[in-house]
Amino acid sequence: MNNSLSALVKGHYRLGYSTPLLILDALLIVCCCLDFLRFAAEGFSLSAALLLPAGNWSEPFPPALILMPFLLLVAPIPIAAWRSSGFGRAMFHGSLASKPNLVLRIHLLLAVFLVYCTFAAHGMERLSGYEQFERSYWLSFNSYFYSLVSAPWLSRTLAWLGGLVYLGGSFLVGYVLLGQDLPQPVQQYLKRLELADVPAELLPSRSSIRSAYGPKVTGYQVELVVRRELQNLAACARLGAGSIESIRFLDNMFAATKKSVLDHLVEHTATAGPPALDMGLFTGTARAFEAALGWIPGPRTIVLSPYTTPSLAGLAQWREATIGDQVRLIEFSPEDHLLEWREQEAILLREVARARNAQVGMAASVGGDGSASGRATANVVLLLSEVSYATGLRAPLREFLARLRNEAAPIPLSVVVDGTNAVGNRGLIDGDADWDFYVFAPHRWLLCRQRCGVLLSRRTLGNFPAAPPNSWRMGQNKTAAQRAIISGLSAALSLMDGRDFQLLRNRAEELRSYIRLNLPRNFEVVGVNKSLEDTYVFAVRPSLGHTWKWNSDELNQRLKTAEHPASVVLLDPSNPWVRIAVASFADVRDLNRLCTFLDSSIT
Amino acid sequence: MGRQSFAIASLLTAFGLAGRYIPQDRQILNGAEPVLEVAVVGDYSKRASSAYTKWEGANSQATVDYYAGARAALQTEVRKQPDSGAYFRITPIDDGANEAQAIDLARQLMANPNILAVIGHTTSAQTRKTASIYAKARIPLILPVATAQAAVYPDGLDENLFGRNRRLLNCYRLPPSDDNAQAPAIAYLVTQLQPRRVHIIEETADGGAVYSKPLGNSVRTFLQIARMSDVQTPREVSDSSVEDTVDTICRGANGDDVVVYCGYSKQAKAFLAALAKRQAPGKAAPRIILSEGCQDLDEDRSSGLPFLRMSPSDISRCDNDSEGMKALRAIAGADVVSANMVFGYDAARILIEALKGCDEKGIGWSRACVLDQLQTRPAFPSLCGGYSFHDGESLVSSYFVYKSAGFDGKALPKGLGEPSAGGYYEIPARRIVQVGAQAKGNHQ
Repeated sequence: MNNSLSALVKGHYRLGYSTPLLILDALLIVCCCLDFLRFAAEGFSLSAALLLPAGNWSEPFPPALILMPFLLLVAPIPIAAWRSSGFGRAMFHGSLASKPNLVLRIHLLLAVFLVYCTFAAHGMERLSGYEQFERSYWLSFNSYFYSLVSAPWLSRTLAWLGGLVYLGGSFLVGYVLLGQDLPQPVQQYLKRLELADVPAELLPSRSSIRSAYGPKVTGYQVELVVRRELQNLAACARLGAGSIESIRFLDNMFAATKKSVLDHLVEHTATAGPPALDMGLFTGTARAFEAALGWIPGPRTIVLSPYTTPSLAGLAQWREATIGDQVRLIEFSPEDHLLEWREQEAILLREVARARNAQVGMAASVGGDGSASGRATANVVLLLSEVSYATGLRAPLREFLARLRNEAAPIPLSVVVDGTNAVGNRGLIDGDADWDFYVFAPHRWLLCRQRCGVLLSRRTLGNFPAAPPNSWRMGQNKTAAQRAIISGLSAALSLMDGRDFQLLRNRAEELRSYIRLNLPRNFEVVGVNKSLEDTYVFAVRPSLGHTWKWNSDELNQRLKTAEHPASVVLLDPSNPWVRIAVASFADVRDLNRLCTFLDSSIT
Repeated sequence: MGRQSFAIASLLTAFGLAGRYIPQDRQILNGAEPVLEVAVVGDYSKRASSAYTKWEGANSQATVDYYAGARAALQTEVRKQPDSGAYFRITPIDDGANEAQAIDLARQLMANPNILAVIGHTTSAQTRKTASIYAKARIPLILPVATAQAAVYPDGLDENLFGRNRRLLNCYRLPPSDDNAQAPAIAYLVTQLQPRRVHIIEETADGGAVYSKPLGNSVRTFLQIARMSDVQTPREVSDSSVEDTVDTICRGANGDDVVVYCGYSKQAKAFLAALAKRQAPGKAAPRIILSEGCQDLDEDRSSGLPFLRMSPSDISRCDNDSEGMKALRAIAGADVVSANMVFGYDAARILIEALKGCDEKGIGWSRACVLDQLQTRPAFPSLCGGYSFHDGESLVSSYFVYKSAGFDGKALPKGLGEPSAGGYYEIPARRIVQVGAQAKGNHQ
């Protein structure tokens, strides 16, 4: 509770003492300077006003006394509230956006100057003398600035805001003393305060960005990443496409990117040390999976985990049809997704064991005939999605794979992990888990704007001839698509070097808790499971007694039309789930719109 | 960037409009008491007199005179329109006859929004020190007695840079400036006296140098132009050097010499006393011309030496039947009023006329309006003629006079006619113009 109060104060401090406050100062100073110019233009001595802001100090003293707390304490509050609303957020960000201490110092100096201006402006008015007409009189020179700061509205505003702050403070202290949770609007406000401090260059922009070196980009783009990518492409273009220098430059960029991936994305325990991994880069995740499967000698039995995306399942089925791989899909009913992990794990192990037994049985039967003994060594390949596409929950990879290896022995078992929705989604790559290949896409969660697939392997990949087309080959010419994806991946990974990525992770975390807090009451999060780790993806469905107004197709269509960050999961046609993905660059207002939509979409 | 610029421009515009339309705090006057105030500044010293009110006294009679004149003008004008209320209040303020104190006073007046205009100071030195300060707040400064050319220029400005475009635009002088009138008038008198040798004395004590040195230099220049053969280099005189200076002058001097004393009464009195003391019995004393600043010596003949004292006006030639003159005589309690009372009266009258001009234009009474009227109005009425502060206006209606104190008829310049009722001899403007290199506007 005390933390909430502290967060409230810190949130206002962080957001209030920012560029808009300096803009307010600047406007007041401009107002003051206009007065100086007008005063000088009317033939009065500016130096007399500036050096002699005296005359009668008692008169400008109260406005100055009001101005100081107004600038230092009151003005930051509406600025913080305004910034937390998200309106015009990108407009006033800049290098000072996340430096409240520096802003405070500058603001303090400007506030002192403005207080001095109050006396100077009053001095100017007095120097101009009274003007009398009939039975009334007034000062000949009317200072805009002094009129503003001495206007009754300022003291009234200060009094009202002071009263509100006092009441609000008493209210919150009451909650603290009673030990209750803060009311939901206050909690929401706190979340909004937390979410409003990402620099503009890290925020998504809908505007299109043109470049001579790359395609026109539209939709949500993170400006910082886009600019770095375009810089990479421009540097490559300067060297000449296809030139030796260009190839060397791109290979060097690939090596640096690989190092960055291994250093920043692959986690490992200190005792185990960094795993020896090789990396391949492909123009899509499907290509990466194909390359991974290509390294596993056939015949193969591909076991698909129930968490796998439909697109990956389609790839496996395509291989079954064309190459002859055997595919076994472990199917989960909607209720299975809600089971405890132990139970889900048991199902997975049982299904893998069946595949293994089938291989053993096949080997025995074939071996009995004395023919095709090679089939006895057929590989079982488990294609496992680390994060369930349906529930967004993360499987405990390390423990599961260790148990799996024990169960599968002595049949060779290869594990290809699908990390498409895992890397950057509230987690990185577990280097200590016993997988053979790990495929991930840096497109969404790592902010890379180029769609590509990254393959990590415990074997050395090298320039093997069976790799899919457009595979990265050192020393060879690169296609335009390859140049684009390495530039994009390098740009995205450059965020990992600084504090930007952590900033975005924090923001995604806040967004996640924000939308959970704001979910309509008649919805429940699917698969809340203490044994599985949450990610920034989760699914919701109407709670008991409520149903969707529309069928799944229409619901999906409405979500797409309104560009909500959500889609329909078709596991349960009678009561479809809606999967919500909260990326770090999501806009709070979009989440609010989604919540409003959900609230209005059930009966 | 475009959105940012638009937002900032919008905010600036909103601020500007908000500032533009913020209503001014107009305060309503209670009763007839005006808020505007005219400060009559000068040397109000301790010596009390029964002639005027409690404010008088004065080391310098001039201050009390022009203050009394200003009050008389206001009372006369208010009496004409009893229902309209007063134009302004008149407040006498003592500048202590001291430059530092005068500067402090000017700063206080500058920061006082009630001040509409200032009338004063008594001496050119104090006027010059303070005029720039009043100019900072655009306070009109009417000079009723200060005649030094430098009085209307910023303090510290080199004399060689004096000119119409450098003078302070808030200063308006009623008597003509020395370089235009007094210096050529003195030079004219000297040429008429046909002296063997001319001694010019410049007073340096108590800030008198601002007045006396330019006047002495100007007189010398005019005499050289008039081809006077033996004009001595001007000599400075202060409290400590009076005796030495007198010794130097008396060495070989005779009744054919002329001594031109440029300064004020106090030092001039000491000078005349020393000169009388050195005078050998039976030997004719040099003829003495005192500058206009020595007006207090008109009534003080303690040295016994005859002299001619310059004066910018001869009140006896004014319309004695006018309402203003009657009022001044009533205040003075005598048939003859001083020139400084007339100047004080005229100063306040000019301000009142300026405010009437503001009324005609339908604008409020303010310093700016008064300055505008002073600069644009063709002429202002006076008890003795009129004033015009137009740039380029020549000294056509003004004249300079001198008063004889103890001279016999033979010693006086020839051909100047009979003295007026007040004992003044007139030097027509054309004579001054003849002597002077060129005539300039009397407002400088």
